[in-house]
Amino acid sequence: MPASIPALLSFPSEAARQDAWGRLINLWSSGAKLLTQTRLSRGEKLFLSLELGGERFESVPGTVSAVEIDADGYCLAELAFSDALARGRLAKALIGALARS
Amino acid sequence: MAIIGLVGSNEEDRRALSLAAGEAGHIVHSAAQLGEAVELLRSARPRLMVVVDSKEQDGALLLREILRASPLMPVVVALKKRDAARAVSLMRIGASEVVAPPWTRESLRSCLSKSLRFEGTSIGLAPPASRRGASFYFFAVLAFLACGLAVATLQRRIRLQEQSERAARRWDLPYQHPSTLAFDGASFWVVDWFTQSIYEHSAQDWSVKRLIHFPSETPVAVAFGADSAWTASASGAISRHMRDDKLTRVQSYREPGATLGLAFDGLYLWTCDGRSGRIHKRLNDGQLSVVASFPYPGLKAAALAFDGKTLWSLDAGNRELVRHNLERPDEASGRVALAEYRDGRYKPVGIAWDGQAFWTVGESASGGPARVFRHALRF
Repeated sequence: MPASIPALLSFPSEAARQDAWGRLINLWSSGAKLLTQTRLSRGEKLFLSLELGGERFESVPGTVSAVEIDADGYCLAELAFSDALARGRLAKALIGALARS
Repeated sequence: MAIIGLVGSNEEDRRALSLAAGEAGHIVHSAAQLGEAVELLRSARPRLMVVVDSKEQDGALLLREILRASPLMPVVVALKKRDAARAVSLMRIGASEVVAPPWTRESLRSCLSKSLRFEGTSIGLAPPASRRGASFYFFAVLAFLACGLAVATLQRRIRLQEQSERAARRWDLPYQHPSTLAFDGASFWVVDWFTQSIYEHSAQDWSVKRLIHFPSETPVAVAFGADSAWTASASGAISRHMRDDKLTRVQSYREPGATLGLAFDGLYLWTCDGRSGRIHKRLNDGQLSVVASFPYPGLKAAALAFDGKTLWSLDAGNRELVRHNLERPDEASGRVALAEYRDGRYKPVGIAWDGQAFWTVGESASGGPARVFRHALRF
């Protein structure tokens, strides 16, 4: 299990929300589980920026598919990535990371 | 509760953070400089460090030095100014969590709690099977099994109901050689050719209400009108009877053919001739004059019935009921196979309409008692 992956969260301009941050609990090519102090709601659109295996992924579009609040008061959100290109790149990076681990 | 080290150059920041962490139940040791912080790591042996990132003191520098001195130490960085990019960059270089202003008791409590227990990221190509997913499948399987059980129970109930209905749709008669069946509006009538008798049966339970002998003839068909009854005998004669207790014969007409079925529609008497294979339409006059004759549109007509709208016949050859066009009875407007006679154990010989359903009577092929069947027809 690699060190936790921090992620920058940005939102569509119409959402009028400040950028936020969080950590990825799980990451796979089509989505992720994100832990953040920022409150997210189901169906919300956001952009995720992260770094995996030295490769940067900027503003990967995603949708919040499920949300729950954990015992510490953090928001545990499940994200679904909608961009096929980004998913392909993520899959490659994940294969590389899995091969190295 | 945990011992927490706090590093911040500004005393007011240290006091605010100490207060918030103390309210969250932690013991706080604070330091103003990096050197004091390193000393604090050795002396107080904190479980977690909080550093303030400000213009006066670079949080990234403090973070690196603390991690150099104690690589596994969770370090929370408290930002003086909210900056998401800065927060992410601090986390990349090792901050376990970054807390943005305002530093409230709630935000600091959850942040410290999470930092003390946080683990790394799990990666994979496919989403992990979640407990929610597992429970969903568990309940889906449970629901499937429940549905299966419900369907099986329902099918069993339907089967039992069908068996019960089948039992209620057939009756055995106390004689063996029926030749026709009729309904007069109140009772069923069955002719037994062997005993040359006509039986009146209760429409409710098929008990025998009356038995009338015809010693001088062998009746094979019977039909009822409002004040008359007609019988056809094996000799070919058609007789008109009074509707009295003995069905007294009034008149008899000699017919060249072999009349097997009779039906009265209120105006005309319909007969079917088994020898010529024709249906005759007769006037109810003194000679039962034939006004029209039609070829039978089936294999072997055994009986006729009128359901109030049109003419029906029983095709003993094809073991089916045939609905006729009343204007042109040689046209069949419907056919219904009789499943009850499919196995050949009974030969259908008579048909009647009681206002709600069709009934047929069959002669047993093995010499057993005759049987009547009630048919629920569907078109």
